Amino acid sequence: MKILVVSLLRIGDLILHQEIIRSIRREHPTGRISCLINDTVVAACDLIPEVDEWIIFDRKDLQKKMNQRQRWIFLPVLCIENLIHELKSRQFDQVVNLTHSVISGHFCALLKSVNTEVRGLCLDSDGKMIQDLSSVQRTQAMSYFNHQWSVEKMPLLHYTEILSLVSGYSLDHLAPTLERGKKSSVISFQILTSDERKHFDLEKWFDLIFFLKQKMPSFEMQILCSLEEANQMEKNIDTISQRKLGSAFQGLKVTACSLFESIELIQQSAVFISHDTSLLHLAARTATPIVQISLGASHIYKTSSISAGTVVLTARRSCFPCAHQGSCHLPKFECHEDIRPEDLLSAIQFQLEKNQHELLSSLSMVQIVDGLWWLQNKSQRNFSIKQALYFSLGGQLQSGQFSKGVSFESRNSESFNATIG
Amino acid sequence: MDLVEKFVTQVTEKDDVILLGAESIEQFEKLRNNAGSFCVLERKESEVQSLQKRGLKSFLVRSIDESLEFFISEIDELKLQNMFVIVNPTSSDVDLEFYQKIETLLTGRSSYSFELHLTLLGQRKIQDLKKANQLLHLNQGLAIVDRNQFSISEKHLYSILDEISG
Repeated sequence: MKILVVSLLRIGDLILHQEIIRSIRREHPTGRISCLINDTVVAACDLIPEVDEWIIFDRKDLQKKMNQRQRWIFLPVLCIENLIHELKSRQFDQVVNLTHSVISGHFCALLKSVNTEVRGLCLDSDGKMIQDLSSVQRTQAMSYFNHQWSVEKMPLLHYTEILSLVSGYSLDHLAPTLERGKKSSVISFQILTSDERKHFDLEKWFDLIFFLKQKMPSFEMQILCSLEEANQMEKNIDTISQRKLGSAFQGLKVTACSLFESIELIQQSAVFISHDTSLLHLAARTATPIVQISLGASHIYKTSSISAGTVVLTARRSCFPCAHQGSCHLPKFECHEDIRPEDLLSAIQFQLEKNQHELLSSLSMVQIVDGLWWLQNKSQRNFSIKQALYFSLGGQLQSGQFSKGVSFESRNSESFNATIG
Repeated sequence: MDLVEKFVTQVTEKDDVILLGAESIEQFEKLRNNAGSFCVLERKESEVQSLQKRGLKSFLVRSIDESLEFFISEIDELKLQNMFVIVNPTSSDVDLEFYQKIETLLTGRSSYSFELHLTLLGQRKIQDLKKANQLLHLNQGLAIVDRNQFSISEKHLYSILDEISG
């Protein structure tokens, strides 16, 4: 069995896609898995051992070729044609599109044939979605993904779950894959993001570190960043420490590391605090307790850490979360005001002192929303998958029964009570 | 047959080709043999002189308005029936304002059929036009040839490139 996984997004997405790739490997232990990725995510390849072959789509280079005056104008066409030719020559039995973008939809259409099944988004030449007639469930899931999930503020399924349904590869083993490191007295942070809307203010980060130093003097603080970010990070610390807190930052470590190295550092941390970034999703593979900050376009229901027991601090504004693409319509990022360093301190204390990981291992996700604990257990998650599929059939949400032992009662999609039994 | 060749074979002596900017002349010079008339509008005097030395019909234009004047005179005096306008879209002097003006100019003249053919590199420009709803009566998503004549796989290919450039 030769399978191509199409993952043409960013590193964080690829890491989330790994759950599906693992499932593919479980189902086809002797199969050959190839993965088509953007050139910008090559750094993450070492993290995904289930893939036998990486095929790089050099999008940046293609863009450059398209915009250079002196280039032969059809060079970009030729580049794409060559890539398609190369992919077709591998004679894949199955293409699993985990990307859900127009580009990937057209790529898959070019690869689809009598001998190559496509799972996930596939577009016709007019850009319309091609129905997957081989599976009713996958078709329903795709319909839900396409028409509802992407616009819903409180969708019923996590991004990974919807991809699982769309691809037909189940997510039965979401437990952390890496053992917890030896008991550590290091608190690690990932404080930079590429999207300023998601970015918790640097000064607040340092206020938090100051509080932590006072409350938990036995813990070391460590900021994780990429090699490219290291200089900027050092400068930030110098500037802020000179301005307000002086010696409080003595001993604060900035560790520049690769993605691969960061796993070990997170594994050995007592707790890891992060925005919705690739490191967050990487941390979900470890058993280290996580505190996640969800601001701007970071969607708590769609792309939060899938690690059991993650505490998610979110904004409360009605405009939150904002659209994935675009910019904030307000003069300043008001949602950033919703989370204070003190809130983060409480969340960290909770993760450290209550040692809840064992306790919550049966729970899928824990979040703090508007200061309330919101728990969802696995039974409810299974239930919500059924409910999502029910929506995709065009059903109205009323009291009813899906299958033996599962009934539901609800007024709207945002609040429902499930009874399992 | 590559797409330039495909385009070249589509152009007949009934067609008049106007190339905006001399940058892509290498690719399109072949059209001289096929087209009814072929000329280049260029802003650099030295380029115009060099083209003229090579026997290519070329005109010096210094601004958008001058380009438009040229079009008006060509339309009125030469009674062009089927005009292909080829632009090198990376050229900074061919901007949205020009497209809009030329479109307005030609739309009002119902006796003339007008086709705007953009080179592939014009995809970004097409995106701009789409966003500005300026592609109302032009063939949708133009590349080097009318997309309606593309094969299915070419349509997919160009949709990918549209996305990348957009």
